[in-house]
Amino acid sequence: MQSITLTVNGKSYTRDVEPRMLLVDFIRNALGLTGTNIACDTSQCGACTIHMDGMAVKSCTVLAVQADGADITTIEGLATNGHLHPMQQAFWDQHGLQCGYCTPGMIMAAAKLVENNPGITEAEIRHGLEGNLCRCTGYQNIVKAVAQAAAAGS
Amino acid sequence: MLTIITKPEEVQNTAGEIRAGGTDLHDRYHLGVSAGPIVDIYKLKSFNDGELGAITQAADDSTHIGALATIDQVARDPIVTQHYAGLAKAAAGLATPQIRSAASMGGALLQRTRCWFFRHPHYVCYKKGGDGCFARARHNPNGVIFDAGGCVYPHPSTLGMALLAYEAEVEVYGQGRRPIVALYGDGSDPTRDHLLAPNELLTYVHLPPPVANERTAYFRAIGRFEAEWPIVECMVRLVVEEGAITFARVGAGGVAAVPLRLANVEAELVGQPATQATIERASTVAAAGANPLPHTAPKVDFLVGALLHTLEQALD
Repeated sequence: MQSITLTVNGKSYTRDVEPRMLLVDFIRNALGLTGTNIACDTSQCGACTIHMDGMAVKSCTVLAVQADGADITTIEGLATNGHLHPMQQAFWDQHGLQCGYCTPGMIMAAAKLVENNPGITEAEIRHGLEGNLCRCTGYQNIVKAVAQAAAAGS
Repeated sequence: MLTIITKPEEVQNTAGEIRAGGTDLHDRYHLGVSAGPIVDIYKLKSFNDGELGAITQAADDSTHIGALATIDQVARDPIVTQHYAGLAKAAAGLATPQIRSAASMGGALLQRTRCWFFRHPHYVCYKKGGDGCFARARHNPNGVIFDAGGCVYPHPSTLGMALLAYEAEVEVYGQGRRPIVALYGDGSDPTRDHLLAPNELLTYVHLPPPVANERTAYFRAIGRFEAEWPIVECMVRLVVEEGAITFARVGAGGVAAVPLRLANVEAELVGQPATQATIERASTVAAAGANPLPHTAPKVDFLVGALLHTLEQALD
């Protein structure tokens, strides 16, 4: 076991973890933050995307021990003071989901995408979301949602 | 067992498969193809004032990329985008944003083959201690067109191909530098994806000083719009002076067991007028020596077409 200390959604946690534990399992099982989903578990689908030190990463490819000292945001940490993050609001407004399984990862990836490129175009949105799969194929409304959030200054 | 090392020298005395970004190794673990001990090197990123995770330019204008720099760093770094634009474009074109954020430069060069049979736990091929290639006799349109007789799946490293065209060197801890071509060899050993031993640690990629007035182009022919391994990919660097091509470096990927530098194409270009006729003639040379598999014959034309397109972009 190895002790790690990290900040998740603004709160500091210290836990002992198995060195091989994946960050996504740590977030879900050790911290009980089950908003981050596991789908493919092979770094392809993007459902487990979180923010780690300012980068959108797939938490199924990061070990919990690698996140020692890191500042992490999960889907549960996006809203502030009871108000949805503009990207969450946009997914709500545009119905950017069908079954909803890809949605947390999609929102986390999209939030970082727009943050890095505030004037993002539709083509850039489609390109930037290439690492997130929606098996319902609900991409049209997802792209509309991201465009709305970008226009709102997400 | 997982061992996290904090100094490069520890890798020499620690048994296990090296894990950097983990985007390839984790996949193989999940699939049941890898199961042994792991030596995690992510903490080396801060070693030597963070050099192993950084991109720096030296006084002679050569550039050093730490093996733990991410693909995203390579794609966005101002030194790379300004002076090695083809490399930046190749880095930006591979995988997906989250993978580029996590995967490392070294891992991109040393990743294992993407062959379906290699990545299936029940097939023991050359690369897993067996004595055959299961892909050879099957329908395999992704295979090589320069068949060295062993493994028929093409090498997956886009950045390895790009760095060949940039005549980069790689540094192995405790051993100094070697040309990147020596990292891969000629592809005749079907058991290897690269020639490093398990306890050898790749530390840096060294790029020579930029070439003045060079034009670069990278083209990735893929089967869908985004996020796919290339069918064929090409990297071209040209210098044109007074209407003539005076310098040419050409790389090709997706076609052989190792990334290729096409010296025969370069020889057809240098000294010739920078015209459509020249690049059309030169691109056909890329197919010389091709011995495709039954299902990969169309890739020969693909390579010629993709290279012509890349050359046109470079001259445009």
